[in-house]
Amino acid sequence: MENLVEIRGLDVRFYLKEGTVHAVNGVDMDIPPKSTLGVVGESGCGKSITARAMLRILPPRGKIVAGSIRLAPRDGKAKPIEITRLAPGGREMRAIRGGDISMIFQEPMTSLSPVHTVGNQIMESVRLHQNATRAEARDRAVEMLRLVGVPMAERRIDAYPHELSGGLRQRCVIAMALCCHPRLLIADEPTTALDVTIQAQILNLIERLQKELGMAMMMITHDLGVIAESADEVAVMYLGRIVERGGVEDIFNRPKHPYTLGLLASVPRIGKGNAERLASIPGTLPDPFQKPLGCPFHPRCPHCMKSTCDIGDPPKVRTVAPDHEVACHLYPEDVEVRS
Amino acid sequence: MSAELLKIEGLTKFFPITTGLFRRAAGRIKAVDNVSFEIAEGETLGLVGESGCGKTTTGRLILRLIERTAGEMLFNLDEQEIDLAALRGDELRRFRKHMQLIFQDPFSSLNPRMTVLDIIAEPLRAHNYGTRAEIEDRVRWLTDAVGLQVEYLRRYPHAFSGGQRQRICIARALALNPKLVICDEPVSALDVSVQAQILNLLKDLQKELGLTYLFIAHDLSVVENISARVAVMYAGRIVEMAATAELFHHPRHPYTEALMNALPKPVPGARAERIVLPGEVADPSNLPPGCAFHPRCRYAQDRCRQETPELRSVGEAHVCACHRAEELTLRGV
Repeated sequence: MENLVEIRGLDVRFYLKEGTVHAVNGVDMDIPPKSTLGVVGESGCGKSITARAMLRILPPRGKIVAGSIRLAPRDGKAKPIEITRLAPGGREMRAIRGGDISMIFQEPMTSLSPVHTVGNQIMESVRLHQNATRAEARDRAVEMLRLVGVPMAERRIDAYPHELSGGLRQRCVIAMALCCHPRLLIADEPTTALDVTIQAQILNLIERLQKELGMAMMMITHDLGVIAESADEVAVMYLGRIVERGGVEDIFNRPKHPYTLGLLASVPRIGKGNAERLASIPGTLPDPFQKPLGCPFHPRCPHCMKSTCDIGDPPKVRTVAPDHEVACHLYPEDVEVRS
Repeated sequence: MSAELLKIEGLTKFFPITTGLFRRAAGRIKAVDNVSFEIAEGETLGLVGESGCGKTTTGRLILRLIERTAGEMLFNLDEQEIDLAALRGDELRRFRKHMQLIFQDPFSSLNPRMTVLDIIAEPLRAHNYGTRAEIEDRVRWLTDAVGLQVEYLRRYPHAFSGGQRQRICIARALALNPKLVICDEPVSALDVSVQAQILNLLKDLQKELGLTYLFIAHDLSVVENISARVAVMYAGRIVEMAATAELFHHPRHPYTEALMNALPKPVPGARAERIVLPGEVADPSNLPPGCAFHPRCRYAQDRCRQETPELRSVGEAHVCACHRAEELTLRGV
């Protein structure tokens, strides 16, 4: 297996009182080792749910109904691990969580326990995954806090989360996520709750650590700026589907899908002044219980073709350039790619 | 340029930190410290800064939602200068229709038990706008103006998306024909595609109704898009203020420079230019001596550690509070 993680045809549904929500539909994703996959989309597009499915930490009513998530084996010898077949609470899955795949969340205050010191929380992870003694785990925790740039790490290790600022808390969360050398770090909106100057610090930190530790990353965010600056490959999601996928240059400089084009046009860009009106995507995100037929984007799409886009199955994924795929009826056929 | 609608002079708010049983004052948080600015009628002034810099407190002081410690706030209503701080009781209540507020979170600022009609009509009823029919007419007009379908008036807020809810909030804020609308982070809780719709709507309404905005936000690109002038706040003070293009292209304060260049841009390969400030945002209860920004400033000198810089003119309609504003060449966008 060449990639670190391969997701094929992933379907996640939520069975709620009000009906069934198809949160993720037929998602394919590859994450090669040591690179960054950016996943971008608006609320409800399924980006976080895809990540949670990879760790088997879906909310109680969420179920993986189809598809596979394969994780490359640790030493390259055994067969790939099929994550969808593991029991969410089982020993194997618990070894993967934190050991192979770690996740950091948007709001650091909610991913830290308020009644334990940050040191104890980091040590817990070290002791669970690496059979270390208390003293060894403590040394490791101090070392990790230094690595993520927490000043006075020997003292801060005994601090409770409420004693730390938002930026320092997020650094502690990153230390916790990385203390067992995972091969993949999933960062779900890691800087959305932070101030601009602190966001820049954390993005630089994540970038540096990724290089130093040689891990792969999945960067989930709605912020196109963060994606442009951190990702190698980008997947654009809309209503549970990937609508466009390609290298970061392709997505930002040669976008093909009308949704990607709309998103890029609607971000205010610094230095453009106040004369221009922003282009915006008309309409709003549809009700999750009643997704549109055909292409999920057709009710808001300026290129919608009657009786093509609004009926039948969603458009198939087509290759439009080397390593650049789009699911849109404007591109009905694969372009032949000469390699 | 038309007349000033609002003139703020030396506005200051200190919150006491109290401790113990007898609420002994143990210190004070300098939330807003000697802030002065003017907003012309029909203009948008953007107020940017990071959390805790006092931008929201400034908005609330103007609206008299909290009381100021010192300073003057003058509101120009039909050629009459009104001292906002002197308004009392019923006088204040009646004056409130001229100043309205739009909040950040459209999920917590709408009462879930009221229909959209009642939400938008509430300020009209509170100020005895007219008969039932007149109020309903006005609500219909407002709903249409903010781009909502009139058929939705009998529904409750839960049936709407974030963008639609923010439209309801805007309709409610505009119900009484206010002169000044204070927009406190009105688009930061919205998705990118919807954010653009709301920004455009706010601009259209301003043109149509001649509104004046104080636009408070942390996102510089959003502020640039809507404001004619921008004021940058740090630790309770305005550190720089200028016309939008001037501020973005020729910043004079190192904090402004860093804010603009720390922002991730939707352009691949731009990351080499990122300026990263060390340390944390200054704590307003324990400000460093001298310039509050000096511990994070890469241009700081001895003088910056001792003397607090005052806001002074550094160009045409451009003020900046930095000792070294004239000698530094800073990078704009």
